[in-house]
Amino acid sequence: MERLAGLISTNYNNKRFGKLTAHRPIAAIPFGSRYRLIDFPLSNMINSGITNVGIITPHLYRSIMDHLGSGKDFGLSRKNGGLFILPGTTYGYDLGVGKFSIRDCCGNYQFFERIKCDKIVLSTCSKIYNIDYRDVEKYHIDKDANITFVYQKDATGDAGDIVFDFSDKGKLKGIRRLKKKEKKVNLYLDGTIIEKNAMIKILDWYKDNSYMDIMDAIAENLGRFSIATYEFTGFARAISSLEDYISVSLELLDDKVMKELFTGDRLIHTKIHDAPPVKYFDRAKVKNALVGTGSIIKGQIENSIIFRDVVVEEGAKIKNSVIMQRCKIGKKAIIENCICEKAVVIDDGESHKGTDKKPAVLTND
Amino acid sequence: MQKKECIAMLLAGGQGSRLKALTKRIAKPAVSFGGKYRIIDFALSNCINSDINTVGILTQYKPYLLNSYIGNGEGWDLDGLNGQVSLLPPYFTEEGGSWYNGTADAIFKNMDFIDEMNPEYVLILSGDHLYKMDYNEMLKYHKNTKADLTVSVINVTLEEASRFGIMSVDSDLKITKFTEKPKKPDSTLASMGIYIFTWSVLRKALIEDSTDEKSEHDFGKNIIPNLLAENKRLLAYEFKGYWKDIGTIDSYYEATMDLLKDNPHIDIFSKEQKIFSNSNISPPHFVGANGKVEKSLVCNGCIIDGTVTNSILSSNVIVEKGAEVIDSILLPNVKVRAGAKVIRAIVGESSEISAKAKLGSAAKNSEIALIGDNEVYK
Repeated sequence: MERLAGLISTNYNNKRFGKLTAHRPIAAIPFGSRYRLIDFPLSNMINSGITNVGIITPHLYRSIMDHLGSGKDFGLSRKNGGLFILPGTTYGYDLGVGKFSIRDCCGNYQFFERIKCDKIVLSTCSKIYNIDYRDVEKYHIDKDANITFVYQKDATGDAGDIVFDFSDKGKLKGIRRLKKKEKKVNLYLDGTIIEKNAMIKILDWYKDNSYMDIMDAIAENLGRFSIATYEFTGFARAISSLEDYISVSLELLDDKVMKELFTGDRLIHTKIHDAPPVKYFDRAKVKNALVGTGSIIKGQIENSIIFRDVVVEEGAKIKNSVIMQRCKIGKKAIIENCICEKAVVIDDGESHKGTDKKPAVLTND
Repeated sequence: MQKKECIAMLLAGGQGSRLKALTKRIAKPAVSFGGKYRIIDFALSNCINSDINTVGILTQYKPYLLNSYIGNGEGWDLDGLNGQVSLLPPYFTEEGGSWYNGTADAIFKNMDFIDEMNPEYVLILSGDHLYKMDYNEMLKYHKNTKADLTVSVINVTLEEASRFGIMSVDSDLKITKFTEKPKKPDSTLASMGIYIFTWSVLRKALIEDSTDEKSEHDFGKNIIPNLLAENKRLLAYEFKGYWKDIGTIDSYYEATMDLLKDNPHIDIFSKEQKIFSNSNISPPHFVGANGKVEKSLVCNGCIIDGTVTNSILSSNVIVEKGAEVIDSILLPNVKVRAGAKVIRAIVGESSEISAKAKLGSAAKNSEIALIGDNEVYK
């Protein structure tokens, strides 16, 4: 029997990402020059040796399905196990704070009955970090837990995020949701290992009250389970809003962060495009940047994230910005503190500036 | 499986000894090219772009990397329901075993494979040429002219002609004479080593050639002259595009650096006749606070904190702070340590240039500095 299976919920959205989530779920937001947010929880699972992964799809699931395909690029196109597409309910969470609804799990009850595993890793797609769940599993077994939560100490959480309160002796006292942004909290990193039979118990208890988030259901029943908390000490960030999105994107330009997230033994997997290398021309200038393949760079880039197949024309200047796939930045255009949506064309000489607190989102609409 | 009209047999067993250190460890078709590619990508991509989905790859010289790179062919969409890549190394039989002794012998020894596929036509290719070509056009020509063999040719200069197999043709492009590497060429139409045979004709020719003890079992030296002597219908198909046989370190360097031009001979960015590869999952490349990149190609996984000018950085190359890379080709996983300087050099896969080391010379007439794979240059 496989020990661990994975389950990722993508059936949630909110309005705090502005235009970035107008046509896509949060899970499908492009991030880090060639990835989407879902690549992080999914890679964490496959890099931990998990070969059975269920994905609960959102209402607008085109971008997620297009990205995952058969699971081939994630090593999940398999005869034994692999990728399971679990249709989420039509009205997923789209306003509130929930991310992992019991209703979506109940609607796919057979997944839990059939999946060969004794523990399930639950995750959503709003936290960026690179973790080996095998370490969490070991801890889970050592602590003889039914449920183990992954959290980070002294982190910053936003409204709706889940945090843990501990007693002086380090015992878990309570689980609560933040009402507003708070610093120095014990932030839940949206990663849980739960015994399959505990999961099924919860689903059975709450099947008539299924609008609830699984975390809120667990919080109501803390005393009925043996619960452990696993402290993750590496780089981890919550991406809960547009402001988080740009600031965490630019944090990737820190040498140490970039190396920890991307260049260790556990690489982040994503859909493979097979684009050519990036071509820099004569007067190209680039400093502090992550650049995706297939791009053609003739202008200047500083402190920015450039996705795949982007064209930056001569004399263009890009600073503190995120430029998504297939954008064309015209000659002498100036882009500062902006997020350019996919395939946006900036004409020659145009100038767009946001502020570091409030980035401008440029779209084709 | 549906019947195949045409399958490709790709000769990928050559050592390419003139590429020196680059082929010490791997076969020439597996040599890294243009950053993320390997030379064989061009022939394989041409196949799938020409709707030829069955490719036999003949391997012999140090095939490990080639085998693992090609895998099941999925990188080139050659893993469909009705097509496949088959790696065909030399093998043992009840009569004993032997290596492939010549290009024709390699095909002869795989007649079973071709018979199994039962095609009308067989396309013979080399795995070490750089070009984009639609083999379908050539196949149409072969069928329209009712040829037994069509040889793809390219017009070369008279000086170059003595390096190639040279064809003399009549006004209908019917081949009248074929000479391997003539001292005094009487034509400038050079064979590109790309042949389309009608399989029944080739099959018979291979069997006859196999019993000829004097034969070198080579297409250019034996099979084609024999067919000419038998008055078979041999036609030349003139190819007008860019084609390059990467024979030497100089031609490898030149063909690679050509990619940096504003309008290179081979457009790797073109969505038409796209060149596919077995892509890795490395992260996007990172240019650090001290990094500077100009007129270069840079692949995924590179980390640049030094200066890179007019160079090609393959996947996962590291250029540390204060290091300088000029007019050079760095193959996958090369590390250039802090303060090192690399000029007009080719550095083999996974090699390291130690801190403050100096490699190569800027002098235009100097030889290209060459470091093999897995070396440390101090």
